[in-house]
Amino acid sequence: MSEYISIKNLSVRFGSVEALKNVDLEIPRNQITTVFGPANSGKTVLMRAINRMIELSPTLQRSGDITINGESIFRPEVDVAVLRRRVSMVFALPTPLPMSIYENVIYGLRLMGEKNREKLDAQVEYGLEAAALWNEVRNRLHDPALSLSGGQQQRLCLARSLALDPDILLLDAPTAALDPISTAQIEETMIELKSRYTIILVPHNFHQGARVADRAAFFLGGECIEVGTVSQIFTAPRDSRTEDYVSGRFG
Amino acid sequence: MSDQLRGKIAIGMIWAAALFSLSVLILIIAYILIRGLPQVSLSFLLESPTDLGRSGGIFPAILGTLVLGLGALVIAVPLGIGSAIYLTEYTYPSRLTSIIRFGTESLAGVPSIIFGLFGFIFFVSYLKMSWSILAGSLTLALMILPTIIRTAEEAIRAVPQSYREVSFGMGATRWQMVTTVVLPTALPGILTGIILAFGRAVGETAAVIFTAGTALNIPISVFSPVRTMAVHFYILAVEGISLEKAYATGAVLIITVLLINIGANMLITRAVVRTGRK
Ligand SMILES: Nc1ncnc2c1ncn2[C@@H]1O[C@H](COP(=O)(O)OP(=O)(O)O)[C@@H](O)[C@H]1O
Ligand SMILES: [Mg+2]
Repeated sequence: MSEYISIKNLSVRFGSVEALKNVDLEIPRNQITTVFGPANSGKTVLMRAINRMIELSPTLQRSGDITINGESIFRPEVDVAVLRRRVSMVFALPTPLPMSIYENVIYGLRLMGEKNREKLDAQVEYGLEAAALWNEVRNRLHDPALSLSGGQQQRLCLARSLALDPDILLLDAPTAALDPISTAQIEETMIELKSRYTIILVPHNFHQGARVADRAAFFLGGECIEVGTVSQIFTAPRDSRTEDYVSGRFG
Repeated sequence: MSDQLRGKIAIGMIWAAALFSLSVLILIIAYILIRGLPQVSLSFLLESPTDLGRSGGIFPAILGTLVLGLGALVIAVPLGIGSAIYLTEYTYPSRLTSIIRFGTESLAGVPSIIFGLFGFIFFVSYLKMSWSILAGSLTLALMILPTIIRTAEEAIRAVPQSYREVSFGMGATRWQMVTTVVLPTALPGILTGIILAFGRAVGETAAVIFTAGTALNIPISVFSPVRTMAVHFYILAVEGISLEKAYATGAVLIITVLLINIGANMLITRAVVRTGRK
């Protein structure tokens, strides 16, 4: 197993709230790793640490390190804008920006100053194809993104990330607000995408993690309790707290 | 007396109060329009006054009003939007921001005659700008600044936090986030504030009579003195020059303000429709 993202002894506090405590976690390339656990266990903070979004909080205190391909993301010469395009995040609620479908998909490229029409058109088609939305919107690319259904909006957000050619996708409960059919579509898309991307998924519930992921990490109270293959974690957990959670005894 | 009855009486009184305010407003506008409009003609709009305004038109005053109003906007809009962006996007709430906010709020409550006196002492006398478009615009700009800051701040705060998150998440710098997401989304609200402020500036008398002067000539530069329609109206009426012409000027002023509001509303509706928000 070649680990790609290494989280080493990571602790994160916001003022007096300890959001992550001494987390160690290895994430392999081109697999789906699901990070699951009850609410407030630090899943979102972990994701936001990997693209350094936690730094938007004025009260942040961090210790420990995260490396991608062996290099720390906290080195002073790292450009957070470049990092965030390489490690792209999709949020729990669909968050299209109030612009057209087309403008949404190229939003990241526009920020980078890309003006070449052909390049932009190509990335729009690539992103929407990969997010399984192209056929539904190809004839209405200039309609407002807010005119799409919830499931379509979430796939648009996925397309917006994919249009940047990221290496890593952070999916924070991307189906939490969607109906079962849209959820199934997104799950299918995730499995197709893992040959090209490394995916970290906070599942909508742990059954989703079991369905689509290769590896699973159980979080509780800001600690990474246990990590292993999906079949090991969900059928033979070593830690009693993991067992309680996956057998539905709490949470 | 039952609670239900008490409720009904309260609602009745609220209705009566609203109706009263509305009818007073309509009465004033209707009175001025009825007395003024018959005197308004194309030549009244396009000619210069003669004999102190007893005859002729009000073209210099129309020009003066628009130039002063636009001048005030040119100064106050960038300052106001800049301050609002700074207060909302570049600082965390602190002692300094509450002092700034307290300052702008106090400024909003200062009567316009005080702005006029300040403008006269500072711009006209101390900075030797004399009565001029420049001194008048600067004074009006100070007067409308709090309105622009406050409305822009409210509009910016109403932009969903998730838009900022998405923008940062796609690698935006703070400035890119502000220009690509925050300002376009807040634009209708910001425009509303600007229109409100412009309306105030256009109708203002006390702040400009001491700073822009009362000259009836057509201005040739920003250092020329001008007379606004509101000042013209005031002088015609108070000095008993011509009540007829005073009402006609008032009618033109009211219609100008109405047109600005209608035009602005159309602009704002278009801005909202374009982004697909309801
Ligand atoms: N920006 C922040 N400021 C203060 N506290 C935060 C912040 N972000 C997260 N937290 C706190 O960190 C803890 C973990 O949150 P989170 O990672 O969002 O949990 P979840 O596992 O539900 O995603 C929670 O107690 C939350 O209140
Ligand atoms: Mg969360």
